[in-house]
Amino acid sequence: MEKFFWTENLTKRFDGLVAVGNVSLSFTPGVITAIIGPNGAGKTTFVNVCTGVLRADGGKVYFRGRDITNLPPDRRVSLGVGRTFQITNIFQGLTVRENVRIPLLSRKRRADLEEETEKLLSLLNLQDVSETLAANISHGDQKLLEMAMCLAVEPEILFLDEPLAGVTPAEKGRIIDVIFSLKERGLAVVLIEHDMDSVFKVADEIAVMHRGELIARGVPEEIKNDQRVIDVYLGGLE
Amino acid sequence: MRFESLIFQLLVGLSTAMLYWIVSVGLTFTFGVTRVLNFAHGSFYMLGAYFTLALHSLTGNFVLSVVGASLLVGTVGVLCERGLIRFSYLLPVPFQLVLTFGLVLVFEDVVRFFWGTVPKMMPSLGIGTVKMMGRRFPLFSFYLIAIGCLIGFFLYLLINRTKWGMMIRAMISDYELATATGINPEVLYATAFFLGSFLAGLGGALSLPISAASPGMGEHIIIYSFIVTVMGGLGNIKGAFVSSLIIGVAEGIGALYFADLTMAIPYLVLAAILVVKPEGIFGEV
Amino acid sequence: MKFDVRKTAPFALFALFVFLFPLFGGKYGTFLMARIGILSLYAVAFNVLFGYGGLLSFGHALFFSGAAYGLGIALLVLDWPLWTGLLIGLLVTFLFALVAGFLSLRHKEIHFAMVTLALSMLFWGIVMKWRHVTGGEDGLAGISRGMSVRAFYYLSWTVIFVSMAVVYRILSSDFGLLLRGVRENDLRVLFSGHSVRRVRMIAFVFSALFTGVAGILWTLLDGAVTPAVSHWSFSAVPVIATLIGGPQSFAGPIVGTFVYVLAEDYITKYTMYWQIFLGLVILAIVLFFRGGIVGIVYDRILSRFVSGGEE
Repeated sequence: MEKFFWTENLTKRFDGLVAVGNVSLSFTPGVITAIIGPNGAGKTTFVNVCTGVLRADGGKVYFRGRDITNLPPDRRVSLGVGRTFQITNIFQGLTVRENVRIPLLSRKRRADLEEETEKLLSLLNLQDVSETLAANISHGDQKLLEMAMCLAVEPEILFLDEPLAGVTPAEKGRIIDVIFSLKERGLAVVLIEHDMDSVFKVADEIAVMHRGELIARGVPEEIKNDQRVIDVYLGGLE
Repeated sequence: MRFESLIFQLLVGLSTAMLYWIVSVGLTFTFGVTRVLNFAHGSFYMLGAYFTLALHSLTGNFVLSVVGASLLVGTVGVLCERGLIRFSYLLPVPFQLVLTFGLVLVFEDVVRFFWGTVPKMMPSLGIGTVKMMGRRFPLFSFYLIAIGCLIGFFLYLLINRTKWGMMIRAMISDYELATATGINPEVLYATAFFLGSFLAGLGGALSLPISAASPGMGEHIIIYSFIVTVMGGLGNIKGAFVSSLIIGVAEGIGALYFADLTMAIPYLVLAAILVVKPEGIFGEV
Repeated sequence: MKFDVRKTAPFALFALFVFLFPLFGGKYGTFLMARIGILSLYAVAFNVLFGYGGLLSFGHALFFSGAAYGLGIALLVLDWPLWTGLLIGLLVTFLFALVAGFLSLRHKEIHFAMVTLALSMLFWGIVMKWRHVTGGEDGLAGISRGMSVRAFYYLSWTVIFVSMAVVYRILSSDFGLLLRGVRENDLRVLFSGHSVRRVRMIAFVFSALFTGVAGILWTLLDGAVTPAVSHWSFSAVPVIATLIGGPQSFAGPIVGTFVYVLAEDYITKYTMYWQIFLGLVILAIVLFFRGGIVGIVYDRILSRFVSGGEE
């Protein structure tokens, strides 16, 4: 099988402190991969380097056989690499509709913008609030809006940084449904999440990071019984 | 002959550099603490000069007038901070800039009202000159250089060796943590503003033996201070020192070779540095 | 776009007022009104970056005076015909915008303001010293506009209206949306697949070019260029006017310019201390009325009528 999105010995340091060290991971279309690990394990930094927020200090990032290590974020997005942020990252002062329109504008072929906007809004159940300022909708709706904005650029791989943090149980269900639908559409989904119940429910594969390094990778069953993972999490609780 | 004038210009450059340093370190320091870039810092410089003139005509003692005027300006600074500027700490940056710009307009007219628009010269202090290499050098330039270095030394001690300096550093590096451990930011803002304005006033006072006081002097110095602080990295004290030296010396020497460009030299230097290092010499981000 | 009476009626009334003004405004009034129009265009162009793009430029005098000096030098020093002067003026502004944009757009907020300020003062320093070309402190006088003040009044207001209409179109287009997106959250614009620098640069050049148009009209109206228009205090004019009127609306800078110029004209008749009033007004705006006049009118009065009807 052709490799889709992968990293080779990816490294990022902050003032000599290794935040991500030699991480080699690959992601596959139609598969939900969760990255877990204690706080400060380097998960978000890893995503930041993969998506271009931060520059890599070593190693490579490849997408569809192409070296994208040094591309700026907007170029990666137009190739098909999307992401959401830990702290919801939307245009607070614009309406929900305008929020969705901005990413749609960057599509190469400008098909019917209005129609596409409607499609996305209804896909994520946001039609009712489409004319409301994004700052005034619920936290869960904001998370969904951010996903809608990511989908607008038609990504082939989507990094979700803690999509379930701080949402109500009902909203959580809606967001998980959306994540499953992404998988069905054939996207590679990379999920960073602290909520272990949800992770084990949705993830097909789990990668475990600890102190910047990848310490385990496998299907949920394997990870559950991996001695190093258990040690890390118990160690983290002390 | 050529060599002597080079040395002479170097000395002139170094002494103006010290003036820039004294004023801009005050600006960059208050910025570092409060995150407000204060346009009115130039007005404080102007007030320093006019207060010194007034005190000098009362007392006849220059040193006393300089110290008194600087302390007065420091007080004016605190009043502005407590009365107005502190309400802008949470506002977007443009509003902060424009607020302090409003203060500039007010102070300029206040000075015009009390002292008029005609530049006011200090009566000669009779400090005199020294003769070196067959040329007379103004003694006051050497005093300025010494004062500038002394201020640098005292600031270093104040920030690195006192409890107050420790609290300031703690607040700059981690506001949340610092206030959680019982540091009162309001007191620090006010005292930092006192120190910054004091330095602006001191700069204005010390400019008197070199140039006359005029209502436009604040505008001139604030632009130079902006250049120095942006060049050195906003909030960076070491950067303010180095870039003051660069600007002052470039101006002094430049006057010798590119007399037509003197006014543009500081801006050219800044533009060149920003091309190479957009965040300033010692700046981060 | 739908035809909206509520939005169009005030505009039509305003245009009618401008059209009829010379009939009763007198010679000085007509001159002042032309000046207000030109400064309004200056403020509207400035507000493309400030209100819509979130970038506070403290150096727009660079583009205003760039066009003014381009025109003045072409006409008086090189002795070229008027139309080439206009082109040269705009070309100078365009080149200035490219260079200044390249240098300043790597920064945001305070840094951006400071870099634009420094670049405009660089030009001021050159203008003051390059005497045989720019006329130094005296500037260049004797530029002929070749028509009466009244004729020029109509010509310049036509240019002003057309320019403003173009700016309005740009701002209400998808590009305007992108620009507001950059103001709100540049990271998200980046992750929407757009180059933030490109958006900012285009807005910067637009803003500079229309500022240049204002600079050209100003020069023709005055018949002269002086270094005053390249000084940073002239960069402060649109900043203050926009804040008085309110940066969050298209009309804000225009309203603000009217108030600013008329107040200056009125107060300076009675006292030379006009700045102190201006300063106090600025303090009051920043501390209490950050929406400016348009903001106040909208919040306190219009919203009562509009709310409910708008949804």
